[in-house]
Parts: sequence; structure tokens; C-alpha cells
Amino acid sequence: MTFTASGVTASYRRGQHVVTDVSLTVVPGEFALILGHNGAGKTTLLNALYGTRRLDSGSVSIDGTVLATGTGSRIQRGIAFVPSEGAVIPGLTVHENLVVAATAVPGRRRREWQPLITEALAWFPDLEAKLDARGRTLSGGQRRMLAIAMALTQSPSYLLMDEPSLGLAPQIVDDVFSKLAELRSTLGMATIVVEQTARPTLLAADQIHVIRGGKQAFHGDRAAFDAHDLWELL
Amino acid sequence: MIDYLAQIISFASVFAMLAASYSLVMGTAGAFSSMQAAFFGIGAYAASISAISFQTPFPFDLLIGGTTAALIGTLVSLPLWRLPGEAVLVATIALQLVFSSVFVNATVTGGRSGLYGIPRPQLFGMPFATALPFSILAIAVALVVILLLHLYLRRSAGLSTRAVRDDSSLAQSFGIAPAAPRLAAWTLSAGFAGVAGGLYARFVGYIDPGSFSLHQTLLILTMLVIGGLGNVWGAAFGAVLLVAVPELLSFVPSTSSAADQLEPVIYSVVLLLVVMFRPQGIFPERNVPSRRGRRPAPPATGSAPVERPISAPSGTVVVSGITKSFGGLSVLKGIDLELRPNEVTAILGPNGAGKTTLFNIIAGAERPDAGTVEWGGQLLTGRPPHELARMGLARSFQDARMFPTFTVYEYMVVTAHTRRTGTMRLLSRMVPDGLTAEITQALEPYGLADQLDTRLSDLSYGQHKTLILASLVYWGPTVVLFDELAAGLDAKSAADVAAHVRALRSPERVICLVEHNLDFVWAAADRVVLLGEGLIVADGTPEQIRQDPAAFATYFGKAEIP
Repeated sequence: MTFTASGVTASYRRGQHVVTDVSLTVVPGEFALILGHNGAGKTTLLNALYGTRRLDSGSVSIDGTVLATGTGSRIQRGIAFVPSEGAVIPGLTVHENLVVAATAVPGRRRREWQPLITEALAWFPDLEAKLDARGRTLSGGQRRMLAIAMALTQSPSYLLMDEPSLGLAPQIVDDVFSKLAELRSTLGMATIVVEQTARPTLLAADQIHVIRGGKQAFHGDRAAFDAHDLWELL
Repeated sequence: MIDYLAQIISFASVFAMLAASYSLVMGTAGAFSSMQAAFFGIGAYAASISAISFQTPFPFDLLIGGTTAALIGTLVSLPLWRLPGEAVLVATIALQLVFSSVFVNATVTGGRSGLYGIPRPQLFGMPFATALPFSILAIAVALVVILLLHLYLRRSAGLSTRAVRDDSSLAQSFGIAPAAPRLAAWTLSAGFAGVAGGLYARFVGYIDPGSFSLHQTLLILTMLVIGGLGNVWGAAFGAVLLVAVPELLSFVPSTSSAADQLEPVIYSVVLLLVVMFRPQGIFPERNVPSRRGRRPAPPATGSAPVERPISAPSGTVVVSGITKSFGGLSVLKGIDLELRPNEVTAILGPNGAGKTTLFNIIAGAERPDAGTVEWGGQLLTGRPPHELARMGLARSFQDARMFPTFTVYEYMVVTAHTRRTGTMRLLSRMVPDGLTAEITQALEPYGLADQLDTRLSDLSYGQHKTLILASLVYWGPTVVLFDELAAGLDAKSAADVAAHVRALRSPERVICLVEHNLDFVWAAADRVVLLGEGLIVADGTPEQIRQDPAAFATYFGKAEIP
């Protein structure tokens, strides 16, 4: 059960720099943090890992099996993705959003996915109370939580998250991250989170990667990270 | 036979005017209006009533028809211009139906049976009663109308209207007030449709509401799509084509009763072919060629960047007591800040610290809840962005926003227009003598001089950023605000851009940037202002900031680590 990205290279648009030669490996229960400033190529990297963006070169594999282009192969192998914004469909209710996510896994029957929704909701009592509220009526924090719940209905072994803190008030960001930590320790998922700034809660990560100008400027553990001048590194 | 041909020519002339005027509002101004036939009708009725009841001589009846339609066009456009595209479409369909209903029900329009006995015109005592002389008159009127539209679009108005269509808030940063070109487009378009209505009434001799229905608008739209949106001559060509071809086909002997149905079939086939193979129309909108205005070049002064003289006001930008909240969330909690000339100030902060909001308030894109921005003793808060641009405040947008249909040359011409003042901006010359030479010279040091006629959509991301910088140097604004200029650039390009920003520094100029790319900040900035949760946490040289533990804690959120 190893998720490996090796030599991933992807472009965002013509003439703009690409994500060049980024490699990382995570195993279940592990938490990898990818740091980088706006426009450094983090989101492009994450999209490439999840298959929404084509790789120019390199590969994404699980246990040595290279995953085919597109998101289908990821969903089937238990990789779920939580985008930073626009993850929740605004015109659908909380429950409908969860159904959309749960049924995205091919070949599932109703009696298989229905309990998964109940299980996912059990993590988020706030959402359980708002099952019939439309996505657009939720607060920013609730939407982020719903996005995570949607990913959970796919019973993922690997969770990719793009900037969970974006647009949220600091206390709510802390709530989101402590929920993530709880999920990881209980469910034993591998988690890859992309962020701009290194919050204390995040630095508990098992591995830290810094993307700068599309290149992997740093990778290592917390101790190695602390040895750097962050003003230079980030 | 000659008479028959002359009649087709007259019809074609009327529709050429209609399509060309429609092209201005629909193509160049990008407003999805669907009431061109209503303006056509308003002009026809106004002209006919004046010709029948008041014996208004030709061509004054056309002027009355045109003026009436233009006035209504102005009135209609006022509430419409804040609406998004689809809403304009729906609103104008509704208005078209309202006017159709007025034509049917009003007594002054003769109700459903319409107005009869509109005399053929006389000019200088010469009658134009028969078909042949009338067709010559019709061609003459159509040529005058289309030529006027053509000349209007060759003034500054052409680029201003397209700029507002392509990106209204970007256009404002070039000193273009979006209201002016839109209002002018609606007024002119409606007015010339009214003139066409007057001529049509004189031609057919009677008018009824059926000629001015939504169906007619759709026919004109078809002509426009085939001929080319945003190209008045193309639109006129499309009109001639769609009037002439079905008529010519009536010479083909038909054996089946289905021959009557041939016309809609031809329209559909032509439309499909054009949409499939030439979606921009047969004659698409044209870019201004850089050949224009090349004539008297000023004496060359080497290849140094051409800096335009800087005009008042100048001095420090003073931000005081700015607060702003969005829906209960307080984003800025009282910002006092001085942006001084001759230094590059970088505003830094983690996500959600309020950088972008502060930037937008300084740039005039957002209003603060309280507090002011002053510059050289003048109050900036409350002024619209286009006014700030004309005062010499330039800003760049994130992600190198561009006018997608523009060429490099057109972008630079619009830049050159920025400092223009006065009320007749739209009618001033688009390309004054020597401007092209100046633009070429300004682009030379940036390696863009040979790309003048390249569309911005064909430039690379890095070239976009270079063009933004080149245009700013050429413009010579007194305050420059950069929003995430280095985002998405690799290390080498970011260093180049930083050097260009340093080169913009001058004792008369204030430069401020909001950035996430720290490398770029260290290379470009003299001073760093660090925001955290809506307040200024630190303010100093890059070295001071890097040694400030409070700044470190704010930016990296590692408060607990020594």
C-alpha cells in the first residue's frame, strides 16, 4: 500500500512554467505536507497527482502499478481529492452532495454506499443537522467539512487536499486540521495536504516538501525543515 | 427587369444599414441586444408620421426617425448596462415585444393596418419616385451611414468600446469610463437603425407592425453572424447576401410547390456553413494594423525605453484608518500606511490577512468602511478606477489579465490613450502621427517590437507579464500597484521581472506590490509591510523583517518555536 509519484512534470498553460520532476512516496497513516507560495505550482502538482491534469512525464503509481490517465483509475484505487474551493455543489443539499460523491465510485450498489454516507456523517455532527440545507447556504467552514465528508464516502486509502485553509477564519482552520488529524489516526489514511504557510498544526507532518518555481526545493522531516531559514526556503 | 433589380438593391441597402448598426452594439460593444427591429420600427414610424402629417422633406424625415430611435436607444441602454449578457438578451426581447405591441395598438401608428401613402422623396426638386433613381438614393444613404459607423470605430472609440467589452474592469485601469462607449454604441446603433427605418418607409410606401417584429431582429442577426460580428462592412455584406441570393433564386424555374420553402432552407444552410467553417463570420472583426500612423517618425533617440513625462500630482500616498469587513468578518482593522516615492513597498502576509482587500482599496476597486487614501493632497477614496488611472495611478491584475481580442499594438495604443482627458475622448484620433514609432521604440528593449500585430491570446504567459511592464514604463504613471506580478513565474523570469520593477523606481513614483513569491520580494522591494489578521504587524527593510520574530510568527504561524 504505497502511493508513489516519481518525476512528475506537468504544465499549467502554454509558456507558463511547469511542475518539474517532483517525487514523493506516502504509506497509509502517513501525512505529507506540500508547502509553496501562490503560483508556485502546488495546485498543478495536486491536479496531476489526482489525474485531472495530464502528466508531461513521470508517473503516479500504487504498489508499483502505474495509474492510467484520468481520475477514474484514482477513484478505483481509493484515492480521494478535496479541492480548496468549489468542492460542494451549491444547488444540491448536503445529502445530495454526499450521494454525488459516494456514487462516483463505479460499480457500487445503493446498499453499499448508503451506510458509507451515514459513517461519513458521523464524523461531522454539524452536517448531520443540516442534511437538507443546500450547499450554498453553508458557511465556509461547513462547506470545507462537507467536502471532506464527501471524500470519506469514497472510503479512501489516500486523501489529497488542496489548501484546506483557503478563505477560512483561523479558528476554523484549526478545527479543520484537528478533524483531519483525528480522521488520519482513526482511519489510517495516507494524507497529502498542500498549503501556503506552515501552521503549527501542520508541521506535525511526517514529511514536508517545499515547491518553489515548480521545483521541489526541499523535502525532509520536521527537524530538517526547522534547520532552514524559512524566509529563504518558501 | 431593371426595376426589379433596383428594388432588390434598395432592400439590400436598408438591411445593410440595419446589420451594420446592429454590429456596433452587438459585435463591437458586445451587448446581446435583440431589439434592433424595434429601433428600425421606431425610426420608420417617426419618419413616416413626420412625412405624412407635417410634409417633412427628405432627408429631414430620416433625421427625425434617426433621432427618435437614438433617444429611445439611449434611454433603453441606461438601465441595461449593469446587467450581465443573458439578462440583456432577455430584457431586450421583452422590450422588443413591448414596442411591437405599441406599434400594433397605438392610434398614431395606425394600429395593425399601419400607415399608408408615404410619398416617395424629392431632393432638390428631383423626384425619386421610380425604382431606379430610388435605388441610387438608397445606396447613397446606406454608404453614408456605414461610412459614419466605420469612421466612428476608427477613432479612439473603436478600441475603447472593444476594451470595455473584453474586460470592463481592466479597461477602467486604462482610464476608460465604461459607461461612455456603451452609451455611444447604443445611441448610434439605434439611431442608424432609425434612419434605415425612415428610408424603408419611403421605399415601400406603407408600413405595418409585421416588419418590425422579433422575427425581423432574428433575420438581421443572421445577416450579422454570416457577415461578421464587429465588422460593419462584413455585416453589410451579410445583409446584401441574404437579401440578394433568395431573390436571384426566384429566377430558377421551380416545378414543385416546395419552392416557397426554399428561402428558409437557404438561410439555414448558409448559416450552418458559416458557423461551422467560419465562426467569426465571412469578414471577422479586424485588429488595428500597426502600419497605421507610421508616417512621420520622430528622430530616433537610441533604444532606451521611452519614458513619458510625469505629470502632477506626485508625492506620498497616505492611507489612514482603513477598515473593511465583509458580512461580519472584519478583514482590515485600521490600517495606517504611507507609500513613499523612490521606494518599492511590498505588502506581505499570510492568506486571509487582508492584503488583496487593502490593495483593492488603494486601487479604487473597493470602498473602505472607514478611512481615506490620499495622494499629494488629493482624496482618492470614492473616485472610480478610471479616474484614478487618468490621474496617473496604474495597477496590474493577478494572472496577467488581458483584452483577449487585442494585439500587442492595440494594447499599447490604449495605454497611450490613458492620459487623455477632456469630454471628446471617444472621438479623438486613435493613432496620432508618430505613435507607432513611439510604441515600437518602447517595446524594443523588451523584445516585443516584432510582435506588434500578435494577438495577446497568442502570447506566452511570460510575454504577457513583460508587456504589462513595458506598457507601464511607456505610460509613466506616478503610482504603480502590482498584484501578484511574479505568481507563476520560474526563478529566472521572476528575477528579470524584479529588475524591471527596480528600473521603474524614481523620485516621482510610488511603487507598491502585493506578493507571495518571497524571492521576488527580496529582489524587488526596499521596504516590506507585513499584514496579519487585518493589522500591520511589521514594517521595515527586508533585512529587518527577516529578523523580526513577530513577522516570522505571523507569516509562518510558528509562534511556539523560538
